[in-house]
Amino acid sequence: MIKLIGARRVFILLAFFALNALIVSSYFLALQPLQSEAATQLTAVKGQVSELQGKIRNIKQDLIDYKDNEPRYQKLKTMGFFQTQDRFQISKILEAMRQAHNLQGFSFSIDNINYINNTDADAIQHRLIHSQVSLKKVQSSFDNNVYDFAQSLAEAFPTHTHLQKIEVMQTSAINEPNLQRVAGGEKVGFVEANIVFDWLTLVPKPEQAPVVDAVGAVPAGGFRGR
Amino acid sequence: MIGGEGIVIFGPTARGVEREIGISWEVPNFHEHLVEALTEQNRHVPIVIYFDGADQTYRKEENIPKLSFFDRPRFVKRKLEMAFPSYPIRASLQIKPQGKNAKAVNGVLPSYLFVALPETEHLDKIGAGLLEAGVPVAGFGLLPVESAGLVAELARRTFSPKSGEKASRWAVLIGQHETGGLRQVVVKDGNLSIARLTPPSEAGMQGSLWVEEVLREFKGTLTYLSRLGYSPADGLDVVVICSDVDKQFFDQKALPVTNFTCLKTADALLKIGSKGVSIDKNNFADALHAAWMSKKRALILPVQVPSIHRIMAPRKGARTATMLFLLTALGLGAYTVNEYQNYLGVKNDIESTQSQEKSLEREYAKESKVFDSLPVKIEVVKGVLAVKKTLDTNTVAMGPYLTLLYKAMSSDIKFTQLSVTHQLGEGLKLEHAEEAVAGKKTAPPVLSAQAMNDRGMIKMVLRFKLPSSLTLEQKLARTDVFVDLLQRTFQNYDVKVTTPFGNVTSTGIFEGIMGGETTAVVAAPSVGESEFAEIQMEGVPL
Repeated sequence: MIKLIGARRVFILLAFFALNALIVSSYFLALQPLQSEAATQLTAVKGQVSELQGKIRNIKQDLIDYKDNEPRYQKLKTMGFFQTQDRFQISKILEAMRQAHNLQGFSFSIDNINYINNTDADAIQHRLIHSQVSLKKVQSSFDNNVYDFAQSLAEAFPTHTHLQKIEVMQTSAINEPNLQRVAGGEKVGFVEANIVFDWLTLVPKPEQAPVVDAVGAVPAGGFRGR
Repeated sequence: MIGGEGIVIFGPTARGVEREIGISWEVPNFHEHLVEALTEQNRHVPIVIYFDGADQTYRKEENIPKLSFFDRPRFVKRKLEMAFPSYPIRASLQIKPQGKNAKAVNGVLPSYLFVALPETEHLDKIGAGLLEAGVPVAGFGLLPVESAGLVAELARRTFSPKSGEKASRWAVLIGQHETGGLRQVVVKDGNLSIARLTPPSEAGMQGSLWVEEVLREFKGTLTYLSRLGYSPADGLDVVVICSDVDKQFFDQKALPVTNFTCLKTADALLKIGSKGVSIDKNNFADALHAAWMSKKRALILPVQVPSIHRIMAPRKGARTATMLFLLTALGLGAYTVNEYQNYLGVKNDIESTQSQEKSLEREYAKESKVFDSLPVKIEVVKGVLAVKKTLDTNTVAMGPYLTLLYKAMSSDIKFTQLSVTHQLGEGLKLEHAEEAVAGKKTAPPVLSAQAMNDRGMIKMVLRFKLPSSLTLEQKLARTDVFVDLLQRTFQNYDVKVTTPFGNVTSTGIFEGIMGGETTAVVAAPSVGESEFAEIQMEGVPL
């Protein structure tokens, strides 16, 4: 066969065959793995770039959100949302409110602080603490004073208050003798009310019990006063 | 070119052919001379073998029936075998009408030219030489068939008809061949009609005796022509390849032809646009046929000679395979280069993306620095506001309820006791708080969206009086009216009379005494029981 085709031609054929084989093998054994590796590397780098772009986008958005929300946060802070619910402070506030609304007097009691489990508070290492304040026998000449007093709790008290119950009873009849007593300057309590409200604030979680935080010690017990 | 006397090898030149060597069959070392000639002078250009021997036989086969594309070749092959049963080498060629007659034969059955030749010792010698020389073989053709076009073209270029005259249908080329013999090729309308080869004689290859032989043989050809339907009206052009000296011996008027001319080989070559090198001054016509062949791309009638075909086919196959391998290598190489360039492109992309990544990292570090320097962490701000939102959701202002209630109460209704209570929703339930105080660590309850939006319940209890001038029945009726009004005011609320006046209702248990000792119609209630009624309202915050 070699003589039929010619040695030179056979040599050329084999040389070209070897050349083809060399090209194919170099492609599959060298170039293709390199391509695959490069493609993988490019995908990885692009992924990292995309991740960074996402992070930067998030940070920028967070900064925008911060700018929008920070004033509201500061306002809450100013309004006492992070206070530890000092009982003496409560009594001072109540007294000021009583005088402002011309109420004759009442007794109050404050229950122990409770912690309300809240996912959002937990996520930022804070606790929602709650004190129930009961005002008993709030005496007033008129029921409007009582209603005004109850509604003003939200503004006069540190944030946040929740009016749980308001109960108003007529204790004295509106008759002539009583009206004459009022005309005489005597304070007659025609109505008497019982008010129960909740005071809720947000305080940082202590590292370990008992609770000690940057603002101050959390009072552990109830409180009564008049 | 292979003839009866020997072979002549022609090689291509810039614009024509070059006579390289002639070898007689009688030379003792014919094989060695042939191999040497092929290997030394051949420049790996494929060899075309032109057979000009006397052994070839022709037959025209007409009226081949019209058959399908697949059936006709088999029919023709069978006809060929029947025509030349003892000849091992056979071939056929469909004759296609040329020129003006082409349109006239539409509908006429096709005709074929059958050729055959024996496998002689000369062909075996050629095959052996080709085998040893290792040169590529392009094909094997028969000179008269392949040169039919040469005759027509040479006649056309030599005897261009004047305006008004029509071109001759018949043409003859006569020439002395170095390979042996006087060759006459006659064509009619461009197709081979007669091929005659007169073996060398004592007349020689030039001179007056040779001219006489030419005339004698041509006259013989004329008698064949008349049998094939030649008439002087068709026109007959004759070209004789000879020297200027021999030309003088030809007397044109003595020949009954339309046109007659003598051309030297070199002139004839020029006529067909070719040139001859080393053709000497002997005016052999072989170079003319070789030059014509060199101008063509393919043989008109390739003939398969077994002793040559067995060499030609593998070498053609090897040549084809070489070309294929070369093209494949080029293609694969181009593809690989392209892929490599793509790879480099990807590498560039990687570099640019990495530099983009570095830039982004710097930007991220810069933004993070600003972020970290904030006085309060953003998560804390978001969390605080979320908690406040929960508290606001669960806090209800009681003012509107009191306002609505007072609007609903007319002047005759005097309330004695009013209670408004808001029960917290699921979002701020204190159930889990007890456990927290006890020191048990509990996870915040997982509340559904509906639970998170639960705003609790509003409960209002109103105790009121009506003027004492009203009878119990009137008070009850007035109460019903008041309840309706409250129902309309606090839509979707559950409004019910928990304590009616006198503890009786217009549809409930009722007792009375008619006539008799007292005028009371109702069992006197205990003191105070008829003085007030109590209504309770319960529902979700407005």
